[in-house]
Amino acid sequence: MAFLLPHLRSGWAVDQAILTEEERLVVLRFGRDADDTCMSMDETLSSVADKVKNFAVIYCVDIEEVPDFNAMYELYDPCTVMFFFRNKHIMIDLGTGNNNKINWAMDDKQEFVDIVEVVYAGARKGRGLVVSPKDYSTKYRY
Amino acid sequence: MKRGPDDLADRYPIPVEIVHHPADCPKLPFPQKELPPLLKKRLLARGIKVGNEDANDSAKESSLPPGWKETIDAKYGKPYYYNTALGISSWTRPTEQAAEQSGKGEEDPLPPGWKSALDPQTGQTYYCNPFTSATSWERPVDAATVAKMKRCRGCGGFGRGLVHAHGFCLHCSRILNKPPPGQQALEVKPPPKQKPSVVVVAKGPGIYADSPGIGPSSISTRPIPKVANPIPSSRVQVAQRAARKAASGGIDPMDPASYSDAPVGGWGSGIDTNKKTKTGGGSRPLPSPGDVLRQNAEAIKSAQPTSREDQKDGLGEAD
Repeated sequence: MAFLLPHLRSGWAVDQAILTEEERLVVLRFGRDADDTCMSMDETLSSVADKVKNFAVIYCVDIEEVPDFNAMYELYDPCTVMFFFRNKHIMIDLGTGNNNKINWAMDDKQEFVDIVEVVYAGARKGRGLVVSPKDYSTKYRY
Repeated sequence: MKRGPDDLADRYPIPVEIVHHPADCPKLPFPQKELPPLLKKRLLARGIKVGNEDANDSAKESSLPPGWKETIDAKYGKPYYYNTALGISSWTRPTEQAAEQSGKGEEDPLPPGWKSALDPQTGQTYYCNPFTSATSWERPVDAATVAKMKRCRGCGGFGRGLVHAHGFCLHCSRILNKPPPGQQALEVKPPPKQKPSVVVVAKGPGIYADSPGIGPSSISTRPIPKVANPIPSSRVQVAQRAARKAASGGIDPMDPASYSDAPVGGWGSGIDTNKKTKTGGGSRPLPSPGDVLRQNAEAIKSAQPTSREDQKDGLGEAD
């Protein structure tokens, strides 16, 4: 479903997409379009993109096409979702130990919308770290 | 009141400075006898006038020193002398020598940092120390004068055996290159070429204002002799760093870096600020993509062989 989402084809494009977005949250999905995990995540993203369009915008970045951020963001997971607001990285306490990103595929659309909402609300208040409504620390057990 | 007869005045010689030294009053026998010349001389040396002819002589003597006035005391009917300028009164007739002495005492050097000034409101002289913001109507006494020691002309310090015959202490004679007359001046060659590597020693306040070298506002520059070996030792590195710091803003005299091997800078200096993004556990936010791109560009640039100019500080990559 990646074709339903706008893609950023260069590092400069990523930078500009975040710089020019002043009011909305920027959700970046780093990964490969052909990857299974990524495809699963893209399905969720593409279906919620329209619902959150008033306060968030979702982009896809292919980590092979745009390798500029791989080292700094440690993009070695098949799928990584990160949030930026006004050119600032917003962290989420997901309970997984890594507050920087969502590095698994989310199936539940509402859960993802909730996370985006929480991140947007916190970022608007100037928070650099927001707490996810749901704790994902036990995710792999079930 | 009328002044008593002369012979009475002579029989009861006026005591010397009743106010200050009442014990000094000589009690002479009524029928005055001629004192032995030796004793008379000794008494005279102490400022005590004895004998008829002496008193007469002194009375007839030249006029009072400038500033002194003679008045008859209402209570005792004796003439006394006072000086409004100095605020002193005395039963004894002030002599030129005494006036000279007191004048000289007035010119005792002020402690370092102190200045005399005229109060515009009252017209009185007062003393102030601009470095400590202390003011005083009374003339401050220099500790060195009290201790009867000479102050060093360079740093203003004093102490037993500190200041040498030529007026400088050992330290100042070395720093200011003012050797004792007998000795040869130290040969300190300025470092050839390179950056002006000097250690600037900023001195605190309170030193002689008119001293040639180290003073309240003056800065003494001490050239660092050039080292022969091309590999800069850590000491030279520190000196160069200090020199650079001095060129930028000056060294705090309280900063150990200005005189020791301690590195110049605050707590955070020396930490590579470029590596501000250490992900791991995700405890701090990552840089924005724009910053990432900029850092990548810088990393590529720094990976290129750097030109000679970039390393001219001689400290290499470690700095």
